[in-house]
Amino acid sequence: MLLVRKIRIHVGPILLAVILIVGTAAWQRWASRSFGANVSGSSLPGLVAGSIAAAIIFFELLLWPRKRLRRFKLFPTKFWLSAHLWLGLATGPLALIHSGYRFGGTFSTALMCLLFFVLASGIYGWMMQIVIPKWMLGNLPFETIGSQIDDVSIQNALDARRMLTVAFGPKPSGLTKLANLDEISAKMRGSSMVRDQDGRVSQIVVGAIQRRGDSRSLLEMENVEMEFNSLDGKEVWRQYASVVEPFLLRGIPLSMENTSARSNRLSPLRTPLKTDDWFGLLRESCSLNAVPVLESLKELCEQRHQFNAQRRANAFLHGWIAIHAGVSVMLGILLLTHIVLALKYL
Amino acid sequence: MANEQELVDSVEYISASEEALFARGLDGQLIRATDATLDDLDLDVQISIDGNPFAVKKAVPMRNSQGVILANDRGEIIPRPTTIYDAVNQLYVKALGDVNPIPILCHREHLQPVGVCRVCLVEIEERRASGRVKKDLVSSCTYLVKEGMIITTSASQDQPKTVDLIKNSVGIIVELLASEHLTRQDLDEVRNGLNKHDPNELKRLVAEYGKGDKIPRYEPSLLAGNRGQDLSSEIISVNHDACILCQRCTRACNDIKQNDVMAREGKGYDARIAFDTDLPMLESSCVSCGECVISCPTDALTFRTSVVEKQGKKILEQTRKSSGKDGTVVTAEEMLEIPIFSGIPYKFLQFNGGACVRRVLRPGESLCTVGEYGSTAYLIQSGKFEIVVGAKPQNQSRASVSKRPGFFQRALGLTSRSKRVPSLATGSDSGMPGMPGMPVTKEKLYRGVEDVILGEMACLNRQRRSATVVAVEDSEVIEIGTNVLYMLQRNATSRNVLNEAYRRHALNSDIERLPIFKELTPAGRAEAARIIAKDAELMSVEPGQAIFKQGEKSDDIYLIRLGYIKVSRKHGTREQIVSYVGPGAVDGASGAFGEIAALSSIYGSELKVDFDQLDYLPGVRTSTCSALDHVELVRIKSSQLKQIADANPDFKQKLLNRARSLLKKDTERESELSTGKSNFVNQGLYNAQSLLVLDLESCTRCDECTKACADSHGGETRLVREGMRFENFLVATSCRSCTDPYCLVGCPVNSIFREGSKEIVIEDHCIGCGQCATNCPYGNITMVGHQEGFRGEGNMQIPLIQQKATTCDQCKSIGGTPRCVYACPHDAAFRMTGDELEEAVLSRKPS
Ligand code: SF4
Ligand code: SF4
Ligand code: FES
Repeated sequence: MLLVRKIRIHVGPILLAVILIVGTAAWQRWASRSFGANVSGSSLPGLVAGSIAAAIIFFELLLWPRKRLRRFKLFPTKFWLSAHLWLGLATGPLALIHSGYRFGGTFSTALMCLLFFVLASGIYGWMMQIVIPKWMLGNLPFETIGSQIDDVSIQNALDARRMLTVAFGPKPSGLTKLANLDEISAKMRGSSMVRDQDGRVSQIVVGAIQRRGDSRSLLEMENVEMEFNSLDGKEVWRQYASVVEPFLLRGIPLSMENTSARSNRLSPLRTPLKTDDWFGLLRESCSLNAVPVLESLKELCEQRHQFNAQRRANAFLHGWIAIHAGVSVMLGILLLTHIVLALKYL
Repeated sequence: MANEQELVDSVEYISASEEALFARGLDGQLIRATDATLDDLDLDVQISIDGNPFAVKKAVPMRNSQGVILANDRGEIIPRPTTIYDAVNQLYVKALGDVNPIPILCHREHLQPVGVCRVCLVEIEERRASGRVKKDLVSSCTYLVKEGMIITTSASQDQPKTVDLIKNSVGIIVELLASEHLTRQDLDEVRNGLNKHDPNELKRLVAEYGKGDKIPRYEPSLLAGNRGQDLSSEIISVNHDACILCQRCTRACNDIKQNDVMAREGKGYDARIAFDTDLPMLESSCVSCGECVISCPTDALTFRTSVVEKQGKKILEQTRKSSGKDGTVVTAEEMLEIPIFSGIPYKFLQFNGGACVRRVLRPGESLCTVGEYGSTAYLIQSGKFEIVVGAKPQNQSRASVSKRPGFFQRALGLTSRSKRVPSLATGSDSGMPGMPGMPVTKEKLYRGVEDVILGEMACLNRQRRSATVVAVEDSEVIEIGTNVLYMLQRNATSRNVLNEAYRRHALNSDIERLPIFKELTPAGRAEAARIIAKDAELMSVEPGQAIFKQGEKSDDIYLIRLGYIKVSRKHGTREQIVSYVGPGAVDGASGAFGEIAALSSIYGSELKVDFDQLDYLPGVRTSTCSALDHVELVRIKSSQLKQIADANPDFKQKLLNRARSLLKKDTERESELSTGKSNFVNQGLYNAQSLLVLDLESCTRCDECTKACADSHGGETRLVREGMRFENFLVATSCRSCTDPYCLVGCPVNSIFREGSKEIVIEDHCIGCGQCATNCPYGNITMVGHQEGFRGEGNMQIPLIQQKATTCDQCKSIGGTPRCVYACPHDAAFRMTGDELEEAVLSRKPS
């Protein structure tokens, strides 16, 4: 049912695009036949094809303000996008019909090239938007909201610390210092008195404060019932502080004196494969009882790998828009110049 | 565990004067030390109260603060021992306006008794273990009834000496409290005659039991007047000097609201109530729900005057807006004059000023309309109303109404060709209240003052109104919110009045229209309704509670009025969900369940099936049925069904055929069990009327839906693009307009409700207590801060942020089209019901 519905959205714009292309092409062909040569922009069919293409291009540019005016009911955006896609695609053939299937002078050639570049970037983006969501769906089960990756990672680190504390007791002294997440975690938990850095009350909150649930971390509390040995504890805490947590918090700017959370390109966990090997080694240096804890830590690292992959995927998904939008605006300006010049010499 | 019984037995023989040593729970509270057993619920104890021989049950069912009987995991009622106070209540309080002669201060019916004030004194005469008969003054709220006990209260006619003794003793206690905790002004008021609705219960008790002009007879301690105040909170003022440490507030906070903020701190004269680790109230985790204030019998906890005024104005505005009618506000004092409201705390009515409105109706004016949701009930003051049940709902599902598409819509392919395809952009409404698919009848009933209340069903069961109510003569009602109804449920007398009305309305309006009887003629249906109404039981089952268990032998049949039940079956140790059933939807047809055991038990051989071959024992339950949410059932005895069927041979034949096909289906079902259903049921999707579903294959994570939501609602998004996944669908965190919305339960100010259509709306008078956010199992309510002025002076102005609950109203407030779906450029966002999602998921799954 959904599929039928989805196809239906595109039927109208596709039909319109085809009618425009076929109609103007047939007209141009008929005019060329009667004229005895290929007619171009100055002929009536050419002018009509060009005018339609120009109108479509300006309509295409309207998608941006339409998106900004989301709160108004200006026809559902999906219809705008569908029209944007199919009518946009029609501008290529319409431009060719307009030009009599020739490139013309330098200016019109540049204009034509720019149009095809815009079309190419649009098609590339469209493909990305078809392929990447499917890839993400299949490969990133831990996917979260892009802008929340840092928050979820911090929450994961806090959860991991809690788990290690419950399993092995507090972090032994003398190990790498952990990043100070107190302020962040207090903010996440919420408080009725929000204090600034100097400890002064900056806000008074009246009423219930939303408590965030536990993150989707995989920490199993059954671990608590197991017997853990203190040697394991020391080793796991050591590796956690120096390797795991910096990896979990990788790239997150923390305004702390501690630097362990800084970007760490040389992390032994930098790829999923290396993570696997590294945890394999750690497992060997610990007793069997520590395995569930190590498995949970490993899963948090895998989650972090997925977040990294999600960031890359997001770049592919949305990165092209800046180029497409940029060249589209340029195209719009050149098109206006083209129209003004054409009217001038009419 | 063996010692438990020994302990119970031994406690039975502890003398009254020794009680204080032993009657303490693990948390140090004075409690009843005896456990009751299930058998005690039926065991009569013969006592005498004020010379009247009286039999009470040894135990009564344990109830929560709303009067709902509590059951354990096995579905058995949890008993609690009957106290003297309970027994006296049973004898003296039978109807609205009756009063229990025992004064109480630290005790309230909806709270666990702690027995700290000792104001509830009665004299008892009982035989002790030694064989001696002994008289004693005991606190009736904690002391349990025993066989042969003779109880004298201050209402006794033939024991004037004892009455004097009791009154004097109570007088001493309350005057001692007064000397320490009432101000000079309070005492002057007491001496000069008190307003009978004065919210300070201690003052009222002193006025009643104190000794003449010399009140109080005692000197206060040195600490009196020096315990201090806590004025940090914006909503509540705390005056430790007025606090009598009755612990009503701590029990309200911890047991009723389960906020766990309050406790007692310090010892002796220093003892006081405290918030968290004795923090100022503002800095504690107090959510300002006000439950402690309305529970406090003194002036120790009060709402700030400015808050009461502001809140009153907001509520009044809202009441007028939502009902679209004008009315006059009924003040707290006026409300308390009406017998049914006399048990409601004054402070509650004062805080909800503007919530109760008097409406005058001319003949022909309607109060409410069938098929619409509502959050107010109507207390009939005068006049007569016509009730039209079963009429066609006014707000038919927008989804199924087909509009003729315009030319451009048709040209651009924007129309749906199938008229019955539900609109995914709006989700579909489920139609009639609780009874989809039932025959529509036009049955007229009349109601008047003797019926007390109208419209309470929609508030209490959170479903659509089941009838249209029209005034047939000049009439007057008082319109009250759901929160007021909840308060009425806390007190047994008003609860009984409500329950009686509810039962009558529910059974009357629905039985005749139950789908199982749709095969009968109208006359046959009316007769069936008569037979059933005589003995049928209207049951309310709480989420998780079992209705019957697989393998059990029982033959009642159940009709679902509202809510959903889970049908599960055990295979070895594994339990698997077979299906979930809603009203009118069991096996797609009858709205009833438990039919196999019932029909096989009453018709046995007449069914002409080989039970041995089917490996089935007639009358035995083949699966376990338990409530998934708040479920209401009509329990019908199989003998009643037989009586109806025997009088209608056609109907009987249809029942027999149905029983055969159900038995066959049931045996076949073994092979079709799947885990998909479990997931669906466990995530509560059956309850959803409008899920925001994102198709992750098309969703480009552009966040246009979230941005559109935020742009349309003052910069705050009401949806989060995160949630459960089913195949390629993501159920976003956004209100789903549940058929049974848990969030509507317990809002202290009735600011969350639905009116008319299915969308949940939160109004501006929300006090930000977070109850709804806690109740929503799907995390779809968010607490958002709004700046409401400043605190402090000069340069020290600190912004004051008032939390308010926010949820998706599907853009009802801005015209009705959910902007999230409207703004999605990739056609990846949909609004759909849980069933539609299940269908969509199944259609994607490789078979
Ligand atoms: S503040 Fe009120 S309710 Fe609480 S203990 Fe004191 S008197 Fe009782
Ligand atoms: S709407 Fe929710 S947060 Fe607001 S007062 Fe009601 S229950 Fe509390
Ligand atoms: S009311 Fe019974 S001890 Fe206080």
